[in-house]
Amino acid sequence: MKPFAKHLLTSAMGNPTINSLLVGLGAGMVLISITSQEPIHAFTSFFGGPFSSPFFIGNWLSLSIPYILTGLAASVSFSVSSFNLGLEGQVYVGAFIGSWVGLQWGGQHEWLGIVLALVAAFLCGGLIAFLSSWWKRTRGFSEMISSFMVGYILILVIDHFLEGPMRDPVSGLISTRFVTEGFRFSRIFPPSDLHSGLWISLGTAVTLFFLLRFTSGGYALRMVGKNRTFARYGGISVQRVLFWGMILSGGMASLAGVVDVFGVHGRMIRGFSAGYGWNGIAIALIARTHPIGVIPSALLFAWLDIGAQYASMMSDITPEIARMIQGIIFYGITAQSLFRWFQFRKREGEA
Amino acid sequence: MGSKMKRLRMQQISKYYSANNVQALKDASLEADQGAIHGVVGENGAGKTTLMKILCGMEREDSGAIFLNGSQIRIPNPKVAYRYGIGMVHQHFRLIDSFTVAQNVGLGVEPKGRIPFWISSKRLEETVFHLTQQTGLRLDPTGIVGRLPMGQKQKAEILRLLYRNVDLLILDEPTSVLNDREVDELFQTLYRLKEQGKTILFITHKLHELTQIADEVTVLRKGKTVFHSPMSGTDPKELAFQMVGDVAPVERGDNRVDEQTPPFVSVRNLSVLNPWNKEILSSLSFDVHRGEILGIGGVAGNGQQTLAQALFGLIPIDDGEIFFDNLPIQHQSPAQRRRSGIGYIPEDRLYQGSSLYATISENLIVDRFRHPPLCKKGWLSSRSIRNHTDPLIRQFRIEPADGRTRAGLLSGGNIQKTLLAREISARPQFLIVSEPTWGLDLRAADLVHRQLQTLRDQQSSVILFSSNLQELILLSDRILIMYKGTFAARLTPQELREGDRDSHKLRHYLSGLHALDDPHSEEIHETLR
Repeated sequence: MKPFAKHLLTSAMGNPTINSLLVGLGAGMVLISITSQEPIHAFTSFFGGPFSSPFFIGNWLSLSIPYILTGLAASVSFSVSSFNLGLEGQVYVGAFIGSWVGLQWGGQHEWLGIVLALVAAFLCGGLIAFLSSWWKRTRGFSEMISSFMVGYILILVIDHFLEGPMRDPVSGLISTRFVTEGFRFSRIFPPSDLHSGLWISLGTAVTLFFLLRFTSGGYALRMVGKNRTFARYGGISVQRVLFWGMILSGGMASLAGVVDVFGVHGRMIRGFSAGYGWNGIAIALIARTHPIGVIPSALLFAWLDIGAQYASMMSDITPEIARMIQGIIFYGITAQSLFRWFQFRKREGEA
Repeated sequence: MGSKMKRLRMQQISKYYSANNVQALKDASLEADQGAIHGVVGENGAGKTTLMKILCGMEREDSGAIFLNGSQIRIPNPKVAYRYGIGMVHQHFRLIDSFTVAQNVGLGVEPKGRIPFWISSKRLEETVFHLTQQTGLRLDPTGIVGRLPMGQKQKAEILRLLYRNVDLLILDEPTSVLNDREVDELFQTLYRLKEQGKTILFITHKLHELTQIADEVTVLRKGKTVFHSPMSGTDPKELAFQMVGDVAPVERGDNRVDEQTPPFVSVRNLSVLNPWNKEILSSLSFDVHRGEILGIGGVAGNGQQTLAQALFGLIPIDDGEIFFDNLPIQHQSPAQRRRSGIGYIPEDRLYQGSSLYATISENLIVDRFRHPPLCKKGWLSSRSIRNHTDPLIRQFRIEPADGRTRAGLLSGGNIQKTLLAREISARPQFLIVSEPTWGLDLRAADLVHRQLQTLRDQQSSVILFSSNLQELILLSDRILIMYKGTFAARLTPQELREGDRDSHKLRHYLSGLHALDDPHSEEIHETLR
C-alpha cells in the first residue's frame, strides 16, 4: 500500500469519531436485518438514498443549511464555556421575527427587507441568549436551565400567535400566510429545496473561523473559554466576552430559523424546526467546536436525516427504525465527545 | 532490632513526579509507635502529604519499604490500606453534603437489610450511634452533613475511618480549617483515640500544636527525614531550626530606599472577610516606595495569598484603601490595574497564572494582545506575535523553545518561566510576586532573582510573598511577617543586615515559633487559604 493511504487508514482506525460512526452503522445494520424483509435493499436505501438522485442531493444540502448555523451557534457558546441550550427556541424566534417582517413589508426594495429581517432575527435571538448569561451573573441561575426554559416558553408563545392572530385561515397547516415572493431565496437546484441560503451559512462559518482565529476579540473569546480565571487575571473583561459570545450564539441560531423560512417554506409553519437546535449541539460536539469542522458534521447529520426519510418511503423500514439508527450513531459520537469535554473540565477544575 | 516494637516503619521512601520534575521524597523514613500521636512537620513542599498519600495507597512509591507490625506490606490502593487499618482524613473533606452523618460514615460498607440490595438505614444509624458512644465523638447520626460546622464535619470524617476499623489514622493539616475552640475539641478527641490504642499521624506546619499534643515528631525537609525524636525534651527552637534549615550567609546588593519620598504604593486599613464574616485580613496598613522590594513572609495560610489577590483586584475587599501613585485603586478591575502598570505573579501558576490548553505564545500575550504591534485594527498579526514571543522564549530559556507548544505539555518550571517572562517583560511599575521560585532549579531561580533586582533598580516597586527564608533575605529591603491576617513583625533594613550574620529572629517568625508565646492571642479563623 502507498504510505499516504496507509497513514490515512491507520489514523482513521484510531480516530474515535470514525470508530463510533462505524459502531453506529454496524448497529444500524443489525436493526435493519432484524426488522426488514429485504434488509439489503433497506440498508442501501438508508445510506445511499440521499445520493440516489439530484433531487435528494439537493434536499440533503438544503437541510444542512440550518444545521450548519445551529452547529455554529452551539460551537460559539461552547467555545466560551457557556451552555446555550435554548437553541431550539432561538431558531423558532428567528423564524417568527423573519416571517413577521416579511409579512409587514410593502412591495418595494425587498432586498432591504431581507437584510432587515436577518438583522432583526439575529438581534432577537442574541438578546434571548444573553438574558440567560445575564441572569447567571446577577442572580446565579444556571444558564443551561434558564436558556432551555426560556426557549420552551417562547416556542409556546409563538405557537399561540400561529394558531390565533397570525394564522392563515386558508391553509390546512397551522402557519402564517406566505411572505411576498421577493423575500424568497432563489432555488439553486429545482425541484429540490436547495436555496441560496447555502451561501449565508457557509459564509457565516468562514467568517466565524476568521473572527475566532485572527482577531483580538476571537483571542479573548478563546481565552475565556479555556480558562476564565486566567483570562480575568490576564486583564480580559470576562463579562464583556461572555456577552458577545452569547449574542453571537443566539443570533446564529435565529438566523437558521429565518433562512429556513425564506429558503424552504416561505412561511412560518408550526413545528417546522423540530430538532434543529438539539442537533446543532450534537453537530458542534462532533466538530469539536471548530467552525469549519461544523460543515462536514452538519452534512453528516443531514445525510442521516434524508436517509431516514428516503428509506421509510422506498423500503419497508419505518421512520422509527430510521430514527433509532440515527440515535445510535448520535449517541456514540456525542458520548465520546462529551467524555472528552468533561475530562477537560474536570482537569481544569482540579488544577 | 527493636523494629518489632514499632507499629509502623517506612524506610527509604522515594518518589519522583515526572509531570513537574519534582523529587518529592528522597529516602524519607518514618517510625511510629502504637498508641501515640506522631507529629509530621515540615515546610510547604517538604513532602509530608506525599509520604502520607503513599501510606494510604493513593500514590505508589518509586522505591522503599513499608513495615506494619514488623512485616513488610504493599499498599497498591486505598482499599488495601483500609484492610491494614490505615486511613486518612484529607485537608479538604470528602463528604457528601446532602447525606446524613450515618450515610456518610457507612458509605460503601452499609449493613445489609432483610431485603437484598436494600440498606437498612435504621441499623446503620444504630451502629453509628454506638460508635459515637464508644469513641466519645459526639455527633448526631441523623444530621445532614452539609449543615454541620467544620469541626463536626471533621468528626464525621474520623468516624468514617473508625467505622472501617482503622487504627492508624492520618490527619492532613486537620487544624487549618478549624477555629480555636474546634481545635481544642479535636485535640481532646485525639487524646481519647490515643488512649484507646490508636496510632495517629498528625501533619502540620504549626509548632505550637506539636508542643500541645504530639508524643513524637518527625521533621521532613526537601523530601528527606532530617529529624526524629520524642517530643518531650525537644526544644521547639531546635525543631524550628530543623524545619527551615541552615541559612547560609547570602550576598545582597546594598540598596538605599529614600524613606523621605512619598510612598508609591500605600495600603490603609485593608480588611477582607471570609463568607462567615471572620477576618482573613484585619486592617492591614503598609507602604512600598519606588525602587524597593518589600518581602512578606510567615507560615503559609496566614492570609498571604488573600492579600496578594486583593492587591491585584481579584477578590473584593471589605474595607480599606489601596493607593497606587496617589490614586485610589481599590475599585478597579484587574484589567484596569494592569493598564496602569501593575503586574502579578500568582502562587497558583497552573490554573490562575497560565492557561494550560493555550499555546506558549497565547499565554505570553494575554496582557498585551490588544495593543500594536501585535494587533492592528482588531486583527492579530501572527508574525508580530512571533517576533515578540520568540525572543522572550529564548531570554527566559523556556523549553521546548517553540511558541506553538501547548503550555500544558511543559514542566512546572517552564510554566513558571513563561509566567515570569510575561510579567517581567511588561515592565510593571508595581509587581506583586508570590513564591516566584517554587519548583525552579537553582539556575532558573537565580535568573528570577536577578530579574526582580533589575526591576527594582529601574525604580519599580515589588512586593515579594515568599516562604523561602533565603530568598526573602536576599531580595527584600524590608520584611513583614504575617500571622493570622495581621503583621506580627516588621523587620527594618538594619535588623536584616544583622540577620545576615545570625538570622535567628527571622527564623523565629518564619517557622511560627513566635506563636508559642501566645497561641490563643486572637480568635481569628484561619479558614480560606
